[in-house]
Amino acid sequence: MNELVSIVLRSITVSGLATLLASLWSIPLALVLTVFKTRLSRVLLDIFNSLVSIPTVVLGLCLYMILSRSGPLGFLELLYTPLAISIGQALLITPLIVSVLSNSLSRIKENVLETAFALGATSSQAYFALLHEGLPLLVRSILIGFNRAIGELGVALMLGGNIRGYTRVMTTAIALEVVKGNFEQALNLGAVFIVVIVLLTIMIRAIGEK
Amino acid sequence: MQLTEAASKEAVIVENLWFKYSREYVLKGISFTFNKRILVIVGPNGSGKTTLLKCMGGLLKPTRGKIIILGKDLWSVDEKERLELRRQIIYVHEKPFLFRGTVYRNIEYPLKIRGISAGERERRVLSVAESLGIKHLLERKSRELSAGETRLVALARAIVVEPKYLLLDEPLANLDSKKESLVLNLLKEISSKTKIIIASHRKRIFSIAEKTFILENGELRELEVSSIEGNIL
Repeated sequence: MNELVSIVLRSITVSGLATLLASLWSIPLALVLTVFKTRLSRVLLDIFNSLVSIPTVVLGLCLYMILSRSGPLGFLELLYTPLAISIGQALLITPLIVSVLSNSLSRIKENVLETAFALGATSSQAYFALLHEGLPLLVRSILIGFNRAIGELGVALMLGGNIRGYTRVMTTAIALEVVKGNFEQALNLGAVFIVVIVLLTIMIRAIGEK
Repeated sequence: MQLTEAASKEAVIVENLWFKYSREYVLKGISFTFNKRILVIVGPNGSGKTTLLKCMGGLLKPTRGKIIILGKDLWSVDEKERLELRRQIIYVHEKPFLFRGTVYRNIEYPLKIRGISAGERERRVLSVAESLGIKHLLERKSRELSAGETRLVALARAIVVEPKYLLLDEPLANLDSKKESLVLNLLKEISSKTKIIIASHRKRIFSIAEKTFILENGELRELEVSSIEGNIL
């Protein structure tokens, strides 16, 4: 039971950190791509839209090669640490947050900016109004990113190594039970995983609505 | 007709205004001087009424031509001066958009961005809400309003700053006849301080018009208010 709790808490912490990291650069990036519609921003958005469906194992493998001892960032000794999983998941969900947020903001942008300018707003006041108006969309995109991070397996397995008590998270624990043939245990973990995700989603949405 | 210097400064002067979205011109060399209280522009859908109002409101930059407001060409002045001019002209969209949050927050918004104190903001919001009969809506969420209520809130949000010019796109849409009368009376009342330009199809709006133009195929011509009978479009 104790191990299950620690796995659940570790999953939330690791993926929470990943979401926080990804939000740091994804939110400003999405705003810039929404506000400045240039040819370059459209190409970048196309790239982010495409990268949304990148297989987690492909990203995991690339990062494994970069972080492994002989890789360019091997000296950081991050491989098989919870931080490595967080970084990997942050990179994984970056295109998702950018794409969801930018596409959502684009839908309200014209109305919000036109209304703000028509009422006498300066450019910065109008963009602030856009950000304020897009707050529920921002929370939703972060939530989608978090759910993607906590539910992925490839990055957590390849960069974390599924070390008991250290880098084992819910998805890698479920995968391990499946490999061992303990389907009942895997299903129980899966049920716990789904309950945790649903509760977190409801909680974050409620906070966002406030 | 020669205008006195003071009247000329208060007048809206549009000179040879052209505008195109892609290849085709929507406005073709529009020129007029407006120095009365209420001007109504009529015209079929797609004739360019909204485009003309948006150009005058500083929301769309004309392809060429001048819009002179308070003696200054809106599109030749620097950003700072344009902001000052834009703050004297409020445009209300045909389908107004309200910000998330309460009606109070929406009406308060243009005052807040002008740096008006909280006490003064409250006084003005309450006063304008009272005059439009929407005081009971102030704490309601904007998303819960009907189309007619949304329009009244958008109008309140525009007149709360007491602008010099008000540009209204179909201000009577979605309103019942009682509310139409309320809005018409209010517009008449505020027109002593605010010059109003209205784009509309509605027959009732002509009752308050001092000057009427028709916009067709990107060109503008004057109509005699007295000659208008029924719904002309």
